[in-house]
Amino acid sequence: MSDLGRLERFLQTDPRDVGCDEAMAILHVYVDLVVAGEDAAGQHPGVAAHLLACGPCGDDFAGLLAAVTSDHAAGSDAAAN
Amino acid sequence: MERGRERTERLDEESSAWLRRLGGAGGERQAAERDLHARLVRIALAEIRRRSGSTPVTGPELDDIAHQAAADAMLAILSKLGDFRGESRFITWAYRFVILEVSSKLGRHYWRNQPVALDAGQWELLPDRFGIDPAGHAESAGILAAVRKVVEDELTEHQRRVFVAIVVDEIPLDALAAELGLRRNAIYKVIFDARRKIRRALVANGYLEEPGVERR
Repeated sequence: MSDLGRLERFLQTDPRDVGCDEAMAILHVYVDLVVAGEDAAGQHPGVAAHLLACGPCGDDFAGLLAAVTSDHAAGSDAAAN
Repeated sequence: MERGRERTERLDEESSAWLRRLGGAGGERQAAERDLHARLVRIALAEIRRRSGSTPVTGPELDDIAHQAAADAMLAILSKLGDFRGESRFITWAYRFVILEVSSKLGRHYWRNQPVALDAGQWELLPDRFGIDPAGHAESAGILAAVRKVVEDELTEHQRRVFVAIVVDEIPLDALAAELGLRRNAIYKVIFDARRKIRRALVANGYLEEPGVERR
């Protein structure tokens, strides 16, 4: 990898990128697809492109995924009833 | 009414239970709110811990932020219960609120412990920002100078200020959004457009070639 690889990657933009507002509006839907093992990126390519490019939104995605996964691990769904 | 019935028909059992309890009355509703709040606090604390390495906020302030985030998320969730359309599990929808609250609050608290001032303009650190080894500084000087020239000559004052804050000074995007009173998306759009503009200029000047192969 070139020494300028990070700069080059930073400068590359994906025209499918939907931006923060649209990605965050369906973040819960996207995360549930990921947790269910479905092709979330295939169903929402613009969201996938954005989460790869936007650090803060990518961090929110990682946080929500961790939250939901921790619930599954704890088996706490039963607490709803 | 019709929308609510359609929503309920396709909900999973757990989500239906949350909505029934939160939409109920008296003790059942209060118990549901306590349960949900306890979950939001747990998630907020975990999220704060997960992000603790990337924020200058430390100590008891982090716990305070977690509890504030959970409380604000709780209010938002209860006021927007009617907006839940059943496109995801209810708890995933609810957790989204608390995760976004944590993000937003950490952004605002950044300025209480700020490691760098707004408009610092630390251009000498640009090679480090892109992971360029000191041995490669001389080789990369030309392309980095070209980046700076585009920023200074072709961006508007607002675009330049945002670019320098985010890329050169590495101020977190949410912190800058809070400081400037802008939405995250507005900041991202500025950076997105700047990236395209800089790339076009670097290609035009022979520093890069499509689709991203370094030439010099």
